[in-house]
Amino acid sequence: MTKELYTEIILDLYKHPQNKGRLEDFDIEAGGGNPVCGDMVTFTMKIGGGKITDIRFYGGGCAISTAAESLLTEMVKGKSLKEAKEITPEKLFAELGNIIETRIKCALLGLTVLKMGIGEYERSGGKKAIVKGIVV
Amino acid sequence: MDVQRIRKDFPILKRIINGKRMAYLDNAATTQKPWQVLEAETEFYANHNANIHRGLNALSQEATRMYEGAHEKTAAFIGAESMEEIIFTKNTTESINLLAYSLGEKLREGDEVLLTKMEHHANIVPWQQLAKRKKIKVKYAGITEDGRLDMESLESMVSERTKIISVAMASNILGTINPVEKIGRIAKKAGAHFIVDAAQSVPHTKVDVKSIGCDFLAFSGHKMLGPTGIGVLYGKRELLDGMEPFLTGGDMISTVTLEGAEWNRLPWKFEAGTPNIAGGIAFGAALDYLGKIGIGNAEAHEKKLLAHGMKRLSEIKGVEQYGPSKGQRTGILPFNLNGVHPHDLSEIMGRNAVIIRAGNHCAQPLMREMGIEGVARASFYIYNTEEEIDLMARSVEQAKKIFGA
Repeated sequence: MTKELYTEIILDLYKHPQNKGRLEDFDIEAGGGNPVCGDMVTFTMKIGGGKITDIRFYGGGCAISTAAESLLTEMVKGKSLKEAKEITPEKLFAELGNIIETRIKCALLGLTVLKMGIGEYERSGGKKAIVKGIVV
Repeated sequence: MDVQRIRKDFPILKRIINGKRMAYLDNAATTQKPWQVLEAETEFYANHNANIHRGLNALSQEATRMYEGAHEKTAAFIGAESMEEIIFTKNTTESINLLAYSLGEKLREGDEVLLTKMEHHANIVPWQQLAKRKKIKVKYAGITEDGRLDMESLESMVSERTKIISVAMASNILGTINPVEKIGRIAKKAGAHFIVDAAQSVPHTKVDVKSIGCDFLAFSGHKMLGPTGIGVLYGKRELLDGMEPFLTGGDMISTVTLEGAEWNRLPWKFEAGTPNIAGGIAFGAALDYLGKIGIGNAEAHEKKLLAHGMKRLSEIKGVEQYGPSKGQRTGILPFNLNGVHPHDLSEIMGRNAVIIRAGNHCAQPLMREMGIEGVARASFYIYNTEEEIDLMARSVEQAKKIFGA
């Protein structure tokens, strides 16, 4: 294998994902998946003072998507909604390591779902927002 | 059966991926095509191309004869009475949709369609859509823990309201071969139409519509060496005669006035518009090829490969295999490696040029029933070898190492 797809960080986060689970008391719940491969993810977030004070995720997916989702939760925790929305795929890939072309969708599932959840929360004017069935 | 000789007929089997000779083990998704099929398609376009059933010119007559000949070959292949019972569609999915519309049109509110929990989405969604249109009920017979059809469950769901029973002859994930003859008798007793989704069977075993006792049978050409875009729907003539067409327009009519139309004779009544002529003819060449090999020989070869695959995977700790351990199975090998998602397994295999399928395989209800997210699936055909399966097993070992599983 010339290019290492399964970097240490991906393998580590896949085996020991951070912030796994579901918040009972949340302001945003966003869930979706990739129907082609069957990967699914749901984020729950608690918002306070414009910041993501707590976040959890659950779902089922491959090493790449699980690692990316775990990493995302760490990247956005304690950050403002604006900062969370500004996370680009490139930023995420830089943290994850090698993402090959065929697996970009796996890596971006979480980011897409997360951003749509935040968007819905902002549109609702800061009321509890639940978005389900996002198709990526 | 000389596998090495067969392999020479398939140009793609020489493909190199990532510097390695490809091992193609995704035949339940689609099979590769031999030169004989590729040449039949090219030869048609190069020498005989014309629209069929149009005019009295010599070229059109040649094209018509060739296209109808493919229908005749198909009828003979599955033991149909005549080519009038053979409709060429796009694929199994379209064949079942045709039935859900044309046969489903006769259903009334409260009628029931009985399926099983191991169906491909192609044999679920068209009936769910019909249920919305006609206010009918769709029921699903259960499966046993080891992945066989639960016949008691099936029989208990049959009632006087059951109008259609539609069942896969073999599961596309588990490889389970269902007792379709028995289900045919149950359907007959209940007065229900019996449809068989034989997409995973006609390519691999002798299928005879009469001995099954089915009213309709659907399968795809591309899963049996033929081109994509050609599927088959077999239907008993008297039933097809009594059904309204699914698609309408050119070629499927006998007369059209401004007030209405009369339908063409079978099977053309159900083949509206210019069909996939070249694809149909090439599918005929695929049937010729399989006929020469002998479907029984193909089946025996795949059984041997399945046994080898099951044995090799059973030697790897952490591999869980699915499907019935005993009884009839087709050459489909579903499995998971603990701690490694099937997509990652498939990715690592792909890097070794081993092509398998991973995911939910268009059968999400079955996946849920089994309580798993996805599954890796190797599936075999006439050109596969035990060496290719060994390559796959080595890739599983490698994945295990990478993931420390």
